[in-house]
Amino acid sequence: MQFLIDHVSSLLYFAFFLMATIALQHGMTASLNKCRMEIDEQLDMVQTVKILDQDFHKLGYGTSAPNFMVGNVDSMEVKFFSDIDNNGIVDSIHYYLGDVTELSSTDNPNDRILYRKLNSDAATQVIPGVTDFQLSYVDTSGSVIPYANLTTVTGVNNVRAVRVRIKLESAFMMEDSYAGTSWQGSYAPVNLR
Amino acid sequence: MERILFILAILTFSMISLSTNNDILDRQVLVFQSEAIINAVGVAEQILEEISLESFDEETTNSQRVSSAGDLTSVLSLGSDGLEPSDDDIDDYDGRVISFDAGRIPGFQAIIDVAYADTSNPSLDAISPTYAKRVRISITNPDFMTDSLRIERLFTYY
Repeated sequence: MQFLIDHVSSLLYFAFFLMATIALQHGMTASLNKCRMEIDEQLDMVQTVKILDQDFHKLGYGTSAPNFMVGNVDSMEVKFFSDIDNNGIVDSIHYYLGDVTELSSTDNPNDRILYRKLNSDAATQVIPGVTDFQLSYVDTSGSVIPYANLTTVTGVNNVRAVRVRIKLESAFMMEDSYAGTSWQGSYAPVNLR
Repeated sequence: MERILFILAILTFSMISLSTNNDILDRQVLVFQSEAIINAVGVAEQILEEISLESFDEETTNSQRVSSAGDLTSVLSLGSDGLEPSDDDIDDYDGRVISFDAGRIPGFQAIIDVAYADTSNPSLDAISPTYAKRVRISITNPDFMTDSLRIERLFTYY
């Protein structure tokens, strides 16, 4: 009888340690994966901001007013003019968000693609996984201009700075949430002053 | 004997478990710290960009011009001038403390310092007005940043 009890208790101890080890391993793997995904999102954000920096700091360079395309200036898109490659020819640069259906294959229901379109070229992806992209426009007094006032040439000519807020999230959920990072910045290019 | 072995096994497992959790926590702290720095840089740049919209000096607002650096605001008078509009020139931001949250990270504090820069050695502050002002922003977050982040930009009259 004692022999049987010893064997059963040994098996129970073994099962306990096995389950605890598996749980520990699972928790560690999930946590490390989430950390890796968070770092990936941060690296993506840095690359995205570099692209935005290059374009938005040149906003209005080599052009005359209006520096924005009326009708394409709102909270989720902006089209502006600049001689971006300094060749004497004014270019148009259009940033806009794609539709959520384009990334319907991902778990994340809110992720979209941020596009950049130069002149009449095909639009290129800046970054997928954008869950928030918010543009606002500031006048010379530092006040945010209502979007309704940006539908005329006079309105867009008042813009002195563009504020950008962007949030990236992973395509797949990890530990009941999406890995993500956000950034906000402002561009007050000299050519808008 | 079996009991001692069992207790040793429990102890060993507990130590491994604690060590693993500690590693995970360290990695998560690093992730939050790097996110805090990305956010802090973004906000510091945002503040600098919006300061760049202002006039160089109170004496150059409303298209006024000065012909000598001595006509600019004196070193001792840098800071909010109490005039309306309150933020219409660069040095109005001197001494300003801004508390903000960025993304999912709360508790940032930005301290803005404005000084005249020595035009022959711009890394030094000048003791009298010059045609260059340096805006220095220090951002701290005691919970998510181990050190303060300092960003500065030079603004010139011409």
